[in-house]
Amino acid sequence: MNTENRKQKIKDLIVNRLNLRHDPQSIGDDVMLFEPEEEKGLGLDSVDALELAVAINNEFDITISDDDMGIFQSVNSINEFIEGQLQLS
Amino acid sequence: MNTIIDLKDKVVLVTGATGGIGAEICLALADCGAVPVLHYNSNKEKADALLADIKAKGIETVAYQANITQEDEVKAMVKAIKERFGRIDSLVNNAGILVRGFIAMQSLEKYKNAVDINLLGNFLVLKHVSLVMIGQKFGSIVNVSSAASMGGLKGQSVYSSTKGALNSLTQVSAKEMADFNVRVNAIAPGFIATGMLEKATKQDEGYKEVIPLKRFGTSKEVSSVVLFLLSDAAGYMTGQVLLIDGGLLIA
Repeated sequence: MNTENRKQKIKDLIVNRLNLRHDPQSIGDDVMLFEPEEEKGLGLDSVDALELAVAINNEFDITISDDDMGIFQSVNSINEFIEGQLQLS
Repeated sequence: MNTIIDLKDKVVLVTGATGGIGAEICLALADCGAVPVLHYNSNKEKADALLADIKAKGIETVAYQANITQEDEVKAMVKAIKERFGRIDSLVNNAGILVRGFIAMQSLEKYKNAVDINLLGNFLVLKHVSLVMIGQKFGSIVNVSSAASMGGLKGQSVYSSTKGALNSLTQVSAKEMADFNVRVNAIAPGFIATGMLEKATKQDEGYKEVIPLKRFGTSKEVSSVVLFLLSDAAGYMTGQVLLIDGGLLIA
């Protein structure tokens, strides 16, 4: 899976797993996922982060521990983490 | 036909399945048409015998060996179950050991072993099963605690404190997993006539006098409560620790 496909997969997971009304394509790679929507973020919360962590864990077969929760900033930061983990394995 | 407790076709991981209570829970699940997935640590012979007993009830299932104090082994077991059955409807976190000894004479080695199995081991199983259940957005879990977690019994400092910690873990995980339609409860059996009590002391026998129901409980009287908690009949219960102790702690 190349970088673009993986980013698209992450966006699909965000929208489908969290039941968002967004079009996955409309989420920018650098949109701050946990900033409020008024500030052009996606308005996600800590429960969403846990759900997303589990979804990524299951989808990519990588483990995200609480030390890694800082990766949940943007699609780009999540993708960089996954790429790092896949190279390690 | 029991329509209140409906567990037909439910895939239920039971850890410590070869122990007295674990085996009874597996058989009771099979009687309900559920598929108990067996975990055992070392007793393959007993696991195979239990598989045969379950098969005789018309249920095909499997047994997995794993040392639950090792995260990679727990992870591999949970992954294998997910791949084979596609889901894990329920977990009975039952593995545990009883360690006796007065605090003043407690060996560190036995202490650490009990903490590793009763607390860390159950935590690791809970962790990896919760990854599956959060992903699928359903599930029910029963942790097997002990009445010893709520009342002080001489010589059970390690056992009591690990089970007390399991009660806390039950409450925390119930809150964390409520957002994902997963319920977590615990049972706290008192004196139950199983293999674990084969080494019952004179002091234990003396408890029959103080237990209001004047006898030790049976494994069936424990498994029936587990079936209830796993089922939708307990759909509005989470984070609870249910005593099954013949009234011991109110005596």
